[in-house]
Amino acid sequence: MRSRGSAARVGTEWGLRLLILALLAGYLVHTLRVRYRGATEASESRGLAVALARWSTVAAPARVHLALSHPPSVLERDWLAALPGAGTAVAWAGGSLLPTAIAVDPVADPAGGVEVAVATPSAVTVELRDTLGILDSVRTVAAGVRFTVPKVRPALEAEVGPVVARGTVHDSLELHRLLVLGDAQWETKFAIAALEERGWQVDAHIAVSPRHRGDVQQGEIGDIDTSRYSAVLAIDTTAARYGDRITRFVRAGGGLLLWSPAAKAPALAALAPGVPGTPIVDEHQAPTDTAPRTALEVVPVVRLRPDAIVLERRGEAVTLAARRVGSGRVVETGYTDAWRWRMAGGDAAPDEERTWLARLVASVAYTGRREMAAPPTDVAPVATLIDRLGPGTPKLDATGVMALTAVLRWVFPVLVAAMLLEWSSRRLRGVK
Amino acid sequence: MSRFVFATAEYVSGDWESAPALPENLIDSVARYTSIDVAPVGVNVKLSSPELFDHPFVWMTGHLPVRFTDAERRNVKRYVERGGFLMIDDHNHDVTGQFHKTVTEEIERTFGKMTRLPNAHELYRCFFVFENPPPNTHHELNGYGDDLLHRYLDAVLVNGRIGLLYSNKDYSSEWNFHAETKKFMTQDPTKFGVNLIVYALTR
Amino acid sequence: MTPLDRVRRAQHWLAATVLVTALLWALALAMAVVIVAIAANLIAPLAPLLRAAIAPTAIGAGLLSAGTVLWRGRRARSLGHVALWVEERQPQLRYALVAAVDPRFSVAELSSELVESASGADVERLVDRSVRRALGRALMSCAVAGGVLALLGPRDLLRAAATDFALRTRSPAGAPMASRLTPLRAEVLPPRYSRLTEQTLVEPTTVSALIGSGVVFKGIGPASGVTLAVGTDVRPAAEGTGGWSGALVMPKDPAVVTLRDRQYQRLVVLAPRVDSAPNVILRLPAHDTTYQTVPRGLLTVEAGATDDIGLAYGYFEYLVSTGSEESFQTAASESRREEFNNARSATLHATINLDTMKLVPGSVLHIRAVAFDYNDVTGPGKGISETRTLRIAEKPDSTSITAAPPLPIDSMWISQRLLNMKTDTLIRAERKLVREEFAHRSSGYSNAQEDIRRRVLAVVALLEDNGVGGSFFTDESKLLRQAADLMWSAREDLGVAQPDSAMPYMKQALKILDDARMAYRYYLRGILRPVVVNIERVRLQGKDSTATAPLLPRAVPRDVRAALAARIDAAARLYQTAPEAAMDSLTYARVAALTAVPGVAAALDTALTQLRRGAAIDSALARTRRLLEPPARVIAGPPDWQAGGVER
Repeated sequence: MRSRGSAARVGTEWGLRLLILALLAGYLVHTLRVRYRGATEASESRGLAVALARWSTVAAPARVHLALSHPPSVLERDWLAALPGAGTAVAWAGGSLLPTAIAVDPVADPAGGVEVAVATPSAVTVELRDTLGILDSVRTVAAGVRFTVPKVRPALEAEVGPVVARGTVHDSLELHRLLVLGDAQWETKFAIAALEERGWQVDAHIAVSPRHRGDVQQGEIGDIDTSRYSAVLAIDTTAARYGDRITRFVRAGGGLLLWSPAAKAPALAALAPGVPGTPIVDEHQAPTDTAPRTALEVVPVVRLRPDAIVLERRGEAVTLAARRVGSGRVVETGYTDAWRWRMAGGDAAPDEERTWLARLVASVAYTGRREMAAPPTDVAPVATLIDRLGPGTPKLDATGVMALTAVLRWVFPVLVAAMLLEWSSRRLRGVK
Repeated sequence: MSRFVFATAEYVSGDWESAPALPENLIDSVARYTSIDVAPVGVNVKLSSPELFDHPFVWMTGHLPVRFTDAERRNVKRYVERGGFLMIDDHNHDVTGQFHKTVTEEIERTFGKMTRLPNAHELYRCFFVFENPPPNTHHELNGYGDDLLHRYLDAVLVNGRIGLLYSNKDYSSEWNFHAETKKFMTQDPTKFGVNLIVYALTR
Repeated sequence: MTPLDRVRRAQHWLAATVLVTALLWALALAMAVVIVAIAANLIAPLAPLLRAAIAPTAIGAGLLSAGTVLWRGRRARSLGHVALWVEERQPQLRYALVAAVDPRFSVAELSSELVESASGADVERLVDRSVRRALGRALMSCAVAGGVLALLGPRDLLRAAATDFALRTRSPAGAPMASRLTPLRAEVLPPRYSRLTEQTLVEPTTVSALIGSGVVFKGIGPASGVTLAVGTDVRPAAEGTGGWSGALVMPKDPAVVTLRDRQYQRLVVLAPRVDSAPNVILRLPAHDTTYQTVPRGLLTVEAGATDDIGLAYGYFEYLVSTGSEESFQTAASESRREEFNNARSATLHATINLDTMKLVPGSVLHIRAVAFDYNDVTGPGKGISETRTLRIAEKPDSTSITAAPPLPIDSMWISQRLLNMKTDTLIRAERKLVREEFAHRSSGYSNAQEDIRRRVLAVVALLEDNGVGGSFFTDESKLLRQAADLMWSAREDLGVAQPDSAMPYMKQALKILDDARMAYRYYLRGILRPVVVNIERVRLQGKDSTATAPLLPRAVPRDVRAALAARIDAAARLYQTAPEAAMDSLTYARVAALTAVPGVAAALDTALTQLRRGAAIDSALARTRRLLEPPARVIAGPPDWQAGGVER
């Protein structure tokens, strides 16, 4: 007579058989459904790499839904873009992904440096990083922000929330010489000093006396063209004698930095963004570190041309203005005694003045460009994602798909365990 | 745009005003030989004041011992390092005298040892050319002072440029006269002063 | 052959077989141990200790198996056991062979059936088979083991095992030395003048001490082969008590000392500390002063001095300058020296007897305090205070209430005005005075007028002096000449007791002096004449020719910070793959920073400490790099022009 224990055991075995059958039936139904409707899988950013490998090898779902908390890597993005070609449609949602783009341009400055432009929505925090950490952090007011980074980095990243745009410099610039034209005065002397200390090679014509050989020259001033000079600095009317050559130079792409006294000269006035106004005489206060140029004498740029761009103001007075002339660029500066900043300013004044003048020159300088090898970049990750995969789906509920996937993952081991249990129980009872 | 203003250094310890006609004389010479926009009158500027930095060329002379105050030393150091040109002339032309001893001590305390300027230096050719520089004065061998011809000038160089120039040759006496007197002279002794100013404005 | 002989022969064969199989099994087992070791090494590299144990284990296993075989075959030594062994395999003998070989019985005592039965034992065949079997198994095992071993290739492992074994079993005298640079001590002996105590640093990475300090590095082990190098100066270590030692002197500039012991190297930074010169502050006199009259009596002077190590002595220096024009005399003197006996702070006192200074109007007295320390290595350090300048005004009758010396025109005007008042009084008192008295007073006023006139002429001479022995009229000098002429007329009239005739001239002279005083405050000692040059009149009137030299370009100043930043970048790329090389590179960068950018040296020290601990140094290097480079900056403004815009 069968004991209660063996009855229970037999009952358990039958239970296991029923479970096995149910699981097999479930698999069959799922398989048939997949066959007719196609499999749908889902993934989040975290498990995307593993999921991609699975979708491309073991299982090729008909569609995949992605819930992205951060943009996929370049490799993952390219992989996803290839899936539709293999019969897997890709849909994604990434509401938290803010469109971010970065552009890195070298600055025409022998001391190096780059200018980084980051495009973002307004009122977001942008962190600029390099390989060693954060360089700066700012909350944007308008649609993006620009930085200057004094030293070139292999790669720069702009991080806006979960989105990281990575950019690098692709070109190196070929700098030519500068030509400085002015009277023997402090502004001429210190402008040349600042630029040479910065690393520029400077030719100069300094008017000292109209006598024969009464002027001072540095370098051989022959043709003024873009093969020899990146920019011309015209400090006063001494430059007028080169007026025609400067005009041709600028139209051909050369840069011109015009001081207000030079902008009065008829030969150069046609190039200037505006007309020099009435000087605002300084009170001989020492330039401060926080606002050094407010203590300087300035000749405001007035009667701006229609195509002139205001670069800087002091109150209502325009102190820096720019315009394009032909292929070249012209900046007019109203600061006629910038040398006082260097001499009378704070501890950092010489460096600061040098940097400021160098950046003005960089803004107009004509340079050659040479492409160089650069590490891979991802300058606009969200835009590229949209470009490759199409726009995101605003509402996407992948949770059901993900739940089913999770369940199916456990069915096979349960099935095998049930079969083993049932077989071993039966065999141990002595039943074949 | 600033014009060139001849500045005379005013310092606490000595007779800084010992060559009162010199500024007017050199201003006159600059106007005679160059087209430099020069102010018609000179100024005095205290070495200890921030105004020093508004005048990148300063003339300093005297007979009496020179002892910089802390403020004067700080200013002078900063002034020269930023590109200013300070000309110091021994009005005694006496290397055994106290002006020379004390001012050279102050210069060394502030900048370290001066460099002897070679006689082929561009200072002697930057406007007028002097064949046997530095140009001598009528006072060096007048029986006063050390009664020596001083064959060199000394300088503190900043990145290869003269920031401070020191002279025992008593240009202060040589140029301390009314500018109108030049018309009676066959050789204008102030030409080297023009070189100094042109050097400061162009180098 | 008798059964005994046959059994004896069998015994010899069996015994030999036992010996040979023992050897073969020992070899096979030893090879098996090596095979197991190789297999284990393939799965996971064996530790040196396990490697060293392979040989002894194999030998032990071999000896064990040989012992086992010998033990199991020990009965081959006994004839009786050999006979029994045969009997076991041929039971039909029924112990006939055992009886036949029993030494207690002779052959004659044995029955013939017994002998015949014993003789019928097939001993040879049994022995033969047994020998073949035993040898065969043993040989087969050896062959298999040998073959497997040959396949696996034991040479490298065995070589390593032998080295490890030899290293562990070699006597201390024969083992290769570990690095003699660890542990390391540095004994720092400051210069004697500093009176600082000796210091001992254990495992130093940096030795910071006064310039001129003796630094003795000490380690254990013999000195031969240990060297110390600072730059190109390489010196061998010397034998010391309990080890080696190397001595050097702290240099003036930061440096790296490289300690070498064969293939081992260690870098230690030498960070010299400068013995600062004393700091001296002159407390009395508190300010520069101008005396209106020659001061007399005692003047107290006081100064405070401090030093980082210890003060030696100090004194006051006095310079008295007297003279004018081209003729000045300066007398220098010093106060009594005060000893400070290595005190860190001290006060100097002195009293100047002004009466002995020979001060006169126009003199200038300079006072300053000087203090020295004991530094006999790079000094002595000399600290100098600010100088106080005490002037004595030139004119003793000045009525100026300001600190500035008086104006000559002012004083002349005052004198003339006083004289005019007195003359006016005399004119009114003419009727009351006796004639002689009247004339006497008028004559006195004439002398006073002449005095004033001479003072005016002295000023005129100064104004008109062109510095080269000639004279030249100026507007002011013409004015003053007029006044002098009027004074002459007034003097003449006063001299003949006619003050009423002199008065108009005196009034006119006073007016001229008043005009001169107001329009031209001429003062030799204080304000230079604001002479205005007529630029337009003289512009480009000079005749001399010019020949300007070309301007030479400036050299770009060496950017020490950029060079340091580049070195740190290189170390940052290196430290993940070669931390030792990165550490050396950062050490040298730190030495360069000690001179050029001391703040960065401290940051690099932090990075080095972290690197030695094995921690990541990215953030430390990032902080260091930030100190060297200008920061990134935001540019506000419209992004419609490259660069420009207002920086934040």
